Amino acid sequence: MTDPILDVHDLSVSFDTYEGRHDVLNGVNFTINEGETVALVGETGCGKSVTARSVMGTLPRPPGDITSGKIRYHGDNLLADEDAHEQVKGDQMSMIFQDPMTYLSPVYPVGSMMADVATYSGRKDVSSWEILKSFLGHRENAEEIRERSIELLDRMRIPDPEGTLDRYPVELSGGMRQRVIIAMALINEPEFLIADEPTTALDVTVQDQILDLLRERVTEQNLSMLYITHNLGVAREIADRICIMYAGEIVEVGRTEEIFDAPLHPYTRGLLDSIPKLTGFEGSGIDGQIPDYTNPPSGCRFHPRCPAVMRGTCDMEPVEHYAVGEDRTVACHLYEDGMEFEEAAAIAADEATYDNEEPQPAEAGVRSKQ
Amino acid sequence: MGYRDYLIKRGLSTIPMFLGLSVLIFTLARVIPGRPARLALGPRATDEAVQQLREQMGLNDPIWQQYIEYMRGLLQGDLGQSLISGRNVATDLLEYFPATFELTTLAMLIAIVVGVPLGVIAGQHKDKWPDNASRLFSFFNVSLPPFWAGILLQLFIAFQLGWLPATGRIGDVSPVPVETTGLLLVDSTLAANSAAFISAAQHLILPAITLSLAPVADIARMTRSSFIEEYDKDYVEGLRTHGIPNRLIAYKYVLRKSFASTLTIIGLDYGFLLGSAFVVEIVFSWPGMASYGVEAILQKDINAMVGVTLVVGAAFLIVNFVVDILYGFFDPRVWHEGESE
Amino acid sequence: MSDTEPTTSDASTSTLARQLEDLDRVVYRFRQNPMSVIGLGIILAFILIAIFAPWIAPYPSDAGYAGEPAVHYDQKFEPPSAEHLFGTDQAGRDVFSRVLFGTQLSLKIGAVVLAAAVSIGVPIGLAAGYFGGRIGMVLMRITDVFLSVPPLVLALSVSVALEPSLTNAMLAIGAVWWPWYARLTYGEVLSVKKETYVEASRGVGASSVRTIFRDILPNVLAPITVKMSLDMGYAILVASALGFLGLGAQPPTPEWGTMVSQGRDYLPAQWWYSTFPGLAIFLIVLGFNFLGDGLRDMFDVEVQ
Repeated sequence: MTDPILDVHDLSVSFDTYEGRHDVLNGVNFTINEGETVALVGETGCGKSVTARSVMGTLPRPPGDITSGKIRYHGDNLLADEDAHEQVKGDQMSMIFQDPMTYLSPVYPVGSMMADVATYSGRKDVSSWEILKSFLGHRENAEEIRERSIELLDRMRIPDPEGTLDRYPVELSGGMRQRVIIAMALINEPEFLIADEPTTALDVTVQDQILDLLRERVTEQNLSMLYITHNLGVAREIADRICIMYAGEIVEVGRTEEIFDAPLHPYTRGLLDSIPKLTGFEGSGIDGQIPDYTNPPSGCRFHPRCPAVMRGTCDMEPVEHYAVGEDRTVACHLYEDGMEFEEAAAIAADEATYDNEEPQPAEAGVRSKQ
Repeated sequence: MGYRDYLIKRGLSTIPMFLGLSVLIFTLARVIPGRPARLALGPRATDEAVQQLREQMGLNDPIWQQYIEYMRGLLQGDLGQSLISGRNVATDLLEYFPATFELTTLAMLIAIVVGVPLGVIAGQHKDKWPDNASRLFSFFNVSLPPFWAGILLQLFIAFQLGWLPATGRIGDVSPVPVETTGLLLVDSTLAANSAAFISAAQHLILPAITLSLAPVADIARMTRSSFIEEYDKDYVEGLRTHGIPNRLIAYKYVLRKSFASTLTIIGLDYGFLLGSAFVVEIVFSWPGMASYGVEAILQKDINAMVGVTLVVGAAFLIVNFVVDILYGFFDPRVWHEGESE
Repeated sequence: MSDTEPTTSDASTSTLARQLEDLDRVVYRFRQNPMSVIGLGIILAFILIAIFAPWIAPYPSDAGYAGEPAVHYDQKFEPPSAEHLFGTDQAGRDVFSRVLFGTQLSLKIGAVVLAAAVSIGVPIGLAAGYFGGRIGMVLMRITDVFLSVPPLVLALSVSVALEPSLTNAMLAIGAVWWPWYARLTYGEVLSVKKETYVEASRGVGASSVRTIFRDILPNVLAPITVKMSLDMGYAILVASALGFLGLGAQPPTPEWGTMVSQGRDYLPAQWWYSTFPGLAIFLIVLGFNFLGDGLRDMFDVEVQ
């Protein structure tokens, strides 16, 4: 296989607030290969969006601060060269967001915003004259851009694409707006797309349609994608590989089917248990909350909530990524580096039965105190 | 609801406001304490003379009948006779209104042209020195009594430095511009009379600046706060993510939305400006409607004062109507969402 | 506000402690804003001047202290000097003394105007908001009509029917100022009404009057106080404008606006005559604006 398109290496980000310094990302590592879709899965507040914004170069700084790490795009470290980052951001990378209601300017027809993205993306500055021209809707290749927009909206299965271009966001439903946002993100034919929970705010039926559309784009345009979600079910539908994130760290990486067949990390197991099965609501697979970032737990950050916690190890020794079999890493003291996958899966299965025997997961910490 | 429906609905709602306004002004002027004829003639007039004038002005009729008479006259362009000029008040107002309109409109233009960029700059540098300086400047501006600010400008710019004339509307120029609109800048342009244009402009500058001081401050503060609020919105992040240059985001997207809030302040400030015009016109001996109104009050010329107040109130209503029209343009949601707003 | 039922003494002491803590934070917020401290200083200085004017002023009799203002035609139009800090006017009176005495008038004007405006506007707003329905609509429509004319212009059209005097000017301004308070109170009442406890006290049969005084009035107090402090300066400005136009206090009353107007006849040669009274207006209005802004931050309320 060739070099990965994106290689995030040891990325650490802190936020300075009046409460103190929050170490929101703590040495995040992952890669995305060409044409591959990788899902970043974790609870709200685990640092998924911060990761995405760091990659995109739109992290607000201050209060955010990238304290270490590299973000290599086709091998070039974007953190070392802001100009290159700006360039890439406009041309090759793009991003779609969670809430379609707020990510479109309410005061222009959607076509105007799309045309600006098509025309000015990646430009350093514009003259007052160009601002005026853009305001009045004049631009050199207006016809070509309009055609391109219509074609994209059509591919997004938007009925009456031409009319839609002249409508204001308030005239469109949430699902339609999200399609417009995706079309806008694709108008400059990027090769890499970040999707930050693009279906979360939508109805379940609309969610499926959006996922179908994204999958279609990925195959047709050979897009590489980083898909962020808190929902493993959604990740299963879209991703080739899954990175599980907890409290600013990646805790497990693996192929989608492997993660589902044999989750290794206790946190992954908890997440799988909490996939909504019938109710549509999230179950309560894991107790407790994401820890306080100003003073994270020692050792493994997950140990206060972990059903398989080992006193004296998990709360003391920092945890590293262990390669387990091929294409699989897990950050958990239950495993050892270089372990065979089968062996690890056996340990995990053992732990899982143990979990199930526990009558009350709320007292998960009890075992270690014995 | 379409834009047109919104405009019609908004326009129709102005009519009852105007009727209410006319009732209010009419009542205030006749009822408190209700002796206009006596006031007009002065304490030494005989009772017969007062009685005669009351009869002549229709003051012996019940107040609602007087009002209906007045409104009937208003529809025909008759606002009653002025005691000072002896002419119909409508004729007087037609003569004086353009001077006031020219002055207040120019003042408002200055206020917008200065205030909006000031607000944007303050918003972009929130809590840094440009913001603090603009804040202090605004406080000074709104605290200045307009008549005193005018006098200071006269003292320094006109008397001390001699750069601009202190009083009046136009100097000795020949030929005098032909009156078409009554707005000297427009008339002299139409007549291609550059001497008159320059003189009129020179006379306009000081009073217009004086009037614009407080609105500049209001507009700057309003623009600043709505700009900051708007810059925090998600779609701004979206645009930045797509690598759109900051200036395009600030001036095409953010400013347009935040200008809608600024517009409402402009509407209110126009009323404030019409009020200040009463003192500023006196300071600069500006031959406008406000000077006429002050004279009317001092001479107890009730018809003239009712006419002036009515025109000011109507102008204020019209300006706010125009503001709403523009608001609909800058923020289309008001007419999309319709009644729910 | 969850502390409607302080059942135990424990709860009430903790409420008190919390209130003290709140006060602490409020004072802190006020002091964080340097302008508001300056504003407070300016206003305190003017209040002291107003009280002690007869003792501070070098020539109290020139300002009409204990009798008609004195005249000294032999000293007319003396420029500012150590003897006459702000110079003298056309009757040889000390402008400095007259400006000091004018402070009393200005503060009085502001206070009277606002008292009038509040005592008309607040009951109307309370009634409109509390009863709602048709009564509320009619009251607020009337309020809107008043608001559709600029206050100064409306005050002028009231004063056309009155003899020009300081009292009448205050009356005229007060009579046109109340709609702002009516609207502010109305809005506050509506939002307070939405909170459940008023509903609850209505449910158990509390009378309307009691509900208004117990539950609603205390809640609208903060925004009204802030609005009053912000308006104080503006009311003084409008009153001085009436004085300037000859519709307020009549000469030789040492009212600032009237003095500026008198001095205008002698520009530019006797520049001091108009300049110093105007400066006084500017300073006191600035003080109230600074102070009002600080209070707004402090109570964290929106008033327009």
